[in-house]
Amino acid sequence: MNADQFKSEMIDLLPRLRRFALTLTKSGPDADDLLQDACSAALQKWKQYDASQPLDRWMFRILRNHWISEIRKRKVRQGEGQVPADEETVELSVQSTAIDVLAAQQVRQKVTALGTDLAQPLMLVCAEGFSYKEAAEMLDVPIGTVMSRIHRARKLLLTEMNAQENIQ
Amino acid sequence: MIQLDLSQRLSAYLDGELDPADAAEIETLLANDLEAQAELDALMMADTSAQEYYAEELDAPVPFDLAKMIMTADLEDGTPVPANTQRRPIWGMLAAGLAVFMIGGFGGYTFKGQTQTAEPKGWIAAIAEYHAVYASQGRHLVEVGADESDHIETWLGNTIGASFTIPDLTSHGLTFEGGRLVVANGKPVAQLMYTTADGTVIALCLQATSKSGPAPFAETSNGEFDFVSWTDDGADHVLIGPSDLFDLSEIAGTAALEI
Repeated sequence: MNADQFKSEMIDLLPRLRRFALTLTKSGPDADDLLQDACSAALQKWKQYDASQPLDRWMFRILRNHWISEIRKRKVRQGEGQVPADEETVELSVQSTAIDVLAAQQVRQKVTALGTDLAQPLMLVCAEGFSYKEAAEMLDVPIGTVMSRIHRARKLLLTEMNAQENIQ
Repeated sequence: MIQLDLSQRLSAYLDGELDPADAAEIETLLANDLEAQAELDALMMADTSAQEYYAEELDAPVPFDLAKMIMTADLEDGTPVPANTQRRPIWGMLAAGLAVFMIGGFGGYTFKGQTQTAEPKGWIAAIAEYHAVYASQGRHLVEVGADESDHIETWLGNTIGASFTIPDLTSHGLTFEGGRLVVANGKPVAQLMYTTADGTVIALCLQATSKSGPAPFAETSNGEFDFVSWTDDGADHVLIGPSDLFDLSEIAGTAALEI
């Protein structure tokens, strides 16, 4: 793969990359910033890319690693020191879920209400069509974790959908 | 080994992640167990909701500046270029990328809200007047026919002072009919004429320019015609077609690559 092919493939991936960035950040502006940073990093180290592997997985990994780095920086800026990424994402998840459940009126809000830890494997498997093994490799978690998080995500969606029906 | 409950197994079954024996066992269960069926239906409903949400996310506009940054990034240092690949200037790469994601359906939201819709000005306004006249000329549409394509490239290229290759736009259903020489803003313009199967005329015009660098696509319209213009390789280009009949951006992406 030459440079032009690499760039063309990256451009073709942009809508999917931005969707994954949104899943990670749950914020349009944050997603755009993350996408910009990840693409810049990918361009800088494009020669490290193994063309025998799918570019999308490589880019998803870069996106996720950049987001983990970013939320750690934010913690440090807030004077709370470094924390494990999983701990941080769970915290964000709870906050996001609490806010969005209250406003859940549409499908968008139900899915947005999912925590990042649940939304990431759900998006990669249900929307992107990756296998549990592929998703596990991209997210650096065991396959069993991917399986259980997807199941929990589905059950949580159902709970919120049922809650909404009861409200209506 | 982790023991999965039925709901977890159904979720994995939904994703095709159970081994054949487990899947067969689930299918036997589903055939006889209403509760299992209801649980699978519920999981599928949740899945459908998620997929609807994620499908919408793909329609979100991708920042044009980011796409441009990627396309214009200089990655060539030490990069081998295949012998059959012609190295193109930056705009060539830009156009290549544009064409790739325009043709692939990406251009729709890349340029959403980011193109000009103002009245054409300068040489494009003059070209619009010519097009209104020439596009209705039928058998006198061109001065030199497509059967003399080599001559058109030499003749018009030398006259306007910018060499070009006649783009093959057959992938867009356009047949090259030939070319003519016109004048706009006191300078010669090469006008390449294409027609659709129903005789609609699309024109690609180019005029030498002294502008130092490339300029990306800009869309304009005068109500009667739409225009996509760009600058590259020492020439201003504009593609003209009837308003609302064609996605000129896609055709322009191919033309910018081939010319």
